[in-house]
Order: sequence, then structure tokens, then C-alpha cells
Amino acid sequence: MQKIDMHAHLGHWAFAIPNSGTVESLLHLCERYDIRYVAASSTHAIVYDMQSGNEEMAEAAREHEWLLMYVYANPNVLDQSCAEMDRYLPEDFAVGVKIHCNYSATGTGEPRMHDLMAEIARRTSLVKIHPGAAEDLAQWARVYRDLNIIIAHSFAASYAAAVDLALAHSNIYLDFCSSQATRGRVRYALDRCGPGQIVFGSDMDLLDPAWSMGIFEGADLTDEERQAVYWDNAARLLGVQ
Amino acid sequence: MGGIIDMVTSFGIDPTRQTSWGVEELLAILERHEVERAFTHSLRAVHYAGREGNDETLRLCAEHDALEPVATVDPRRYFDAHEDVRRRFEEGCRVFRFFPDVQGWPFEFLPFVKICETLAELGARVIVPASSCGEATRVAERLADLELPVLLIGGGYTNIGELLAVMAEFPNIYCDAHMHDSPSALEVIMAHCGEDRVMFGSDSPVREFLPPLLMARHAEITDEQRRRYLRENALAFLGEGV
Repeated sequence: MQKIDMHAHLGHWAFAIPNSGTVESLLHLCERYDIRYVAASSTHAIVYDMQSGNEEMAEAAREHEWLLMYVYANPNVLDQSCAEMDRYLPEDFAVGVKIHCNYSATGTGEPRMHDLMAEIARRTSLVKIHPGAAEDLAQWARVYRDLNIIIAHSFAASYAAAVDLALAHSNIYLDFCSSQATRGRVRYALDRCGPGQIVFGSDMDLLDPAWSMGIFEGADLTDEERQAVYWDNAARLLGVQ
Repeated sequence: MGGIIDMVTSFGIDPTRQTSWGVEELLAILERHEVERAFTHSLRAVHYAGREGNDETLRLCAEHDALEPVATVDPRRYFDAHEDVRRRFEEGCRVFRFFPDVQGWPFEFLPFVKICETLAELGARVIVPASSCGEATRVAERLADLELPVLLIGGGYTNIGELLAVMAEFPNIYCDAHMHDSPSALEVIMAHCGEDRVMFGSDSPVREFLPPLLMARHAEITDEQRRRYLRENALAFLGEGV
């Protein structure tokens, strides 16, 4: 069935992954796995140059209607991040903001990350964060009720804490792509909090979408669950049909 | 896509996650995915008592046709490890697996090398984890002088480049793909190292079975290469012929 991928990247990673990192390589995977829309952030922006990366991402998203943009924001440069958000979020192709604790070397508990989150909440209704401390995400979910927060990878092996967050906060969403395909994570989440706050993310083209599809299909999804996680929840967040 | 040989499975208790995987759970996964044979070991042998755990592995494998025994070896117990691997070989174990990541010893550990010398004399095969950069190189260099087929498991996108270099240099090194989740991983390994050097593992029931299987189904390789990956390369590695 058609899918919306809420976790992707445009750009290269420093690993031996041939034929990757381009719009064409993403499109190839989308066609192979029936992915209609891809919400992506720039690898270049995350790992090196926020402004150049966001510009490349915007240029690609402007040209390809299936490609949607997370604006990358870096808590180490708050003013520049605000300028990036103000520049791109008004565009139709920009759907939210991506922040990355590891690559910015800033945990969710740091004051500058809290400052950035306040600025994000003023400007958009969707943020994807990787990774994060449960208590900070809970605080943001309570304070910024109109901000939907996708937890990238759902804390990997510590997924139970992510599921508890989703159970407690209707604006927390779970994304289960991960190299650590620990058995039973998706079924645990579905049984605890239902399918309404789970989105499909692949982490392409660092990862092949077949990997995440295997994680989801291993959960023996019902038709209703499949429809919710592969399409409906993301469509609602993105405002697409 | 029947006829799968799974080189990486286990059963028992994982104390790091307080999870217990009974052998019935493993068997159900194997049946569901039409796995012909799974090489498996008791987690008791890894985390607690090697001899008792290996006894448990052999007993359960004797009871279930789909299971093949993998004996675990802990080089920290050097004084009786040689005797133990000889006994396990006589009892029918042909594959031996090491757990330096769990047991806290380095690949430079001389007891590891000396036990591998004994395993090479016996004609055994070994499984060694190599998920971090540098590990595949260190294992291959330490065991380079032995006629010992070595299956490196757990590699992924962070060290696939190293695996390609190691497998090109050392013909006794093979790899699995239960953690290779990047696009074209299987295609790249086959293209650079030959289509007979990579084999299927799932790490069931600890990890989901389907991700590596769907990667194989969607890989841009021939059906013959897929068969080799899922079954025949394991037979060749085991010295059983195809």
C-alpha cells in the first residue's frame, strides 16, 4: 500500500553506501516501496553546514512535490536557526523542524535546547527530535500542546519509555526505524497506545525502507493499523490527502 | 522463498532486558518463515555456565530437527576450553561461537587465538561478532595463519567498507547480513567479495526476523544469488556442499 515516510534524509553519510544521498536515489526507493510522500531533512545541514544544507533541501523539495522538508535547526546557533525557520517554514513544501541532539552535541535538558524548542513551537506544529530525554519531551508536550513531537527511533531499545510518553501525551508520535530491530517493539506500542500516534519512518537512504517495513510487518498489523501507520497519521500531521 | 538456513539464532534469558525467549518461540518463528535449519545456542551458555548451556543446546537440537547446535566458547576459562571444544566437536557441534562483547575480552586475547588453533585442527567453523570499526580487521589478522572459516556477524553500515576490505584480503572470512540495513548492502557485498561469502542470519528471536528477509527479497540480485545467500552459502561454509 502507499506510504508516507516521516523520517528520511537528503544527502550523503560517511559510510560505504553506494548510489545514495541524492534526489534520484530517494526516488528510486520511493518507487520500489510505494512511498508517496517523503518528509526529509538535509544530512549536510545536520552534520556540517545548517544553512547550505537547508538551502539544498529546499531547492530539491521545491522541484519535487513528493519531497517534503524538515527545516534543520541547531540549538548552538539560535538566531541563525530562527532565521532558517522564518525563511523556509512559510513555504508549502516545509512541514516542520528537525533537531538532532547528538550531531549538535546538545541534550534536551540543555537551556539552549529549551530556548530553541520555544522558538520552534512559535513557528510550526511539527518537530522531529533525535534522540531526547523522556522528562524533557514530556515537559515540551505539556507546555506546547499545539506542537506535535515525533520521537525518532522511539528511544531504540528503551522503547517502553517512548510508548509511555505517547500514552500520556496525545501530541507525541513514535517512529520505529532503527538498525536495532529489537523484536516486539511495534506490537508493544500498538497494544499499549493504539495505532493513532505511530508513523512510518525509514531513515532512508541511510537505511533501506525494506528494513523498517520488516519491523512493522513483523508486528502482524491489522488492516486498520496498517492504514493508520503507513498513511493516515502522517497525512493528518502533514495536511495531505 | 523457502529453504532458508539461519546462521544466527538463540534461545534463553537475556538478562540485559529481562526477556526470556523459550525454544518454542524460536521454533514458531522458524516455522512461520519456512526456515529449514537454524543454528542456535543457549543464552545460558553465554551469560552463566558454558558447559550447562552447551548441554542444553545439544539436548534441544537433538529433539528438534530444525535446530543445529552452536557451542559457545569462553576463552576466559582457558584451562579447560580446549578439552571442552574437543568434546563438543565429538558430540556433533561443528560451529563454535565467541562472545567478546558480552564477556569483556579483546580480540588480541591469546586464549582466543589458541582455542581457534584447536578449532582449526578439528575442522570446525567459528562465528565472531564484528559490529564496530576495527573488529573485523583485528579478527582476520589474528586468525590469518589458521585454516579456519570465520563468519563475522553483526556488521552494518558503519563498518561495511571495512568488511569489504577484510573479505577481499582474507579468503577464510565470511559475513552475515542480519544488521546490514543500508540500501544495496547485499548487492555491494556480493559484488566486491563474491556471491558465496555472505549468508543469512536473523538473530531471532532477539530481533525481528522480517527486516533482513525483506532486504533479501527486495535486493537487486538474481534469484540464484538470493538462493545462495539464503541457503547454499551456509552449506558451503559448513563444508556440506550444495
